Amino acid sequence: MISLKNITKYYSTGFVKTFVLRNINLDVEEGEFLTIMGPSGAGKSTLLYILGMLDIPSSGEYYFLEQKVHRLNEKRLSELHKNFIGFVFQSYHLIDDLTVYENLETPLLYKKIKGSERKGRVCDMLDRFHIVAKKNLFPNQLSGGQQQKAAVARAVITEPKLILADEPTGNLNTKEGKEIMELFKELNNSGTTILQVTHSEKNASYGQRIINLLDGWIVD
Amino acid sequence: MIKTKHLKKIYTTEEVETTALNSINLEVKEGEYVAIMGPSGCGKSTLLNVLGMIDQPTSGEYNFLGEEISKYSERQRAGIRKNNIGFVFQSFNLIDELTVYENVELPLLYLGYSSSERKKRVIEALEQMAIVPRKNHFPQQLSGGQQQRVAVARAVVGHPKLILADEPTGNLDSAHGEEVMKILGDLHESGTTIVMVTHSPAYAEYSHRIIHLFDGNIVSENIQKEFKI
Repeated sequence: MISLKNITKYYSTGFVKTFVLRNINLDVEEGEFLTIMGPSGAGKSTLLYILGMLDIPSSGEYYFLEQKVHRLNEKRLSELHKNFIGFVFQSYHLIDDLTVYENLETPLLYKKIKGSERKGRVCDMLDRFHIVAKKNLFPNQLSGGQQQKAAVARAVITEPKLILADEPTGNLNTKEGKEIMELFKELNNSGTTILQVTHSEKNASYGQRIINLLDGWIVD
Repeated sequence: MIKTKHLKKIYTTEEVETTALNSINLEVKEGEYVAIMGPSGCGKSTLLNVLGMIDQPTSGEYNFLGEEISKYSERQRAGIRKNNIGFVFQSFNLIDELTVYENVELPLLYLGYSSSERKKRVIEALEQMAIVPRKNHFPQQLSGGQQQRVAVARAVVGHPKLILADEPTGNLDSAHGEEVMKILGDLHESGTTIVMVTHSPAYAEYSHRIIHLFDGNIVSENIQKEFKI
């Protein structure tokens, strides 16, 4: 599904190049659940953003579902991102003046899916994430864990092939964190490829493979 | 435009009752610019959420544009909210799965505008906030200042009568903070009513009137400049 070849990312300030990623080679098969670990500043989030096409590498090649991502223009990148990728962030990014139901529905409004099917999909997600009772509430009326569940539900409602998660349980307590990880596990069991960045060994144990990053290098 | 009487909000968790708003009597006239200040946890955001109808008061009256809405159903309140109120939050509240353009367009989808009218309005709002070149980007590809401009564009795209802003500059550096305050100032100049929660005395100076909240009560009011209709 994913193949990175010699991916490098640096920022230039004056005459100095600061490297964030160095010579990254990585292959991810469809259906994998992979964890990226490493200390702060190792380049984990940058790698995730490049994989999610929200950031562009300085050099190297990126193949996603047989497409040469490094050759695509911005419009095509944005289409690929929208059609295949769901991103889950540490903070929830729900819209406070929309209800939980409306928040979940938003990505579908742009997918030309008709009303009855939208309703079906939203209800299915509410059910799967155990937040049916919360559907008419606003984000500020929910706990942190419930908000994150709603955010994950919204990220996966368009059924992306790939989920990228950046410290998805970072703001949650142990019990809430476990619930989110169980949901990821379920999604993975039903075929979704998942790449997560985490500091937690426990969260990493939900996946099949761990990549360690240090100072921008993949290390063993 | 806004008139509340003995507005009260109590949060009940297992054993404790917390009074977020005690008995708020507040009036805001159409075209006014009001700042709400006070220490953290004194009820500022709760008041703003109740005024914006995204939270329900426990008791008291709330009259909005001549309608007593405290007895209204969620559906009725949603109708009033979507047609009249724009929100700006500290944490921007953008949807990561949608582009800048789509984020701004969102409120119009709920208001049932035609696609040509939507396009016109979205471009107008993006131009007003000087973010047209970013329209196909995703929120995570923008700086904080740009994200907040997108959020303001979304708040104003439906031409709301009232803008509720909760610490709109809280996550921004001073240059970007100034920029957002200037935008709110321009919107006010063009007739929009603004109620803003802020910690910053300097930004509160932009308003006509500063209301100080403490422990769920309005404890004082400072008139900054005379308000004329």
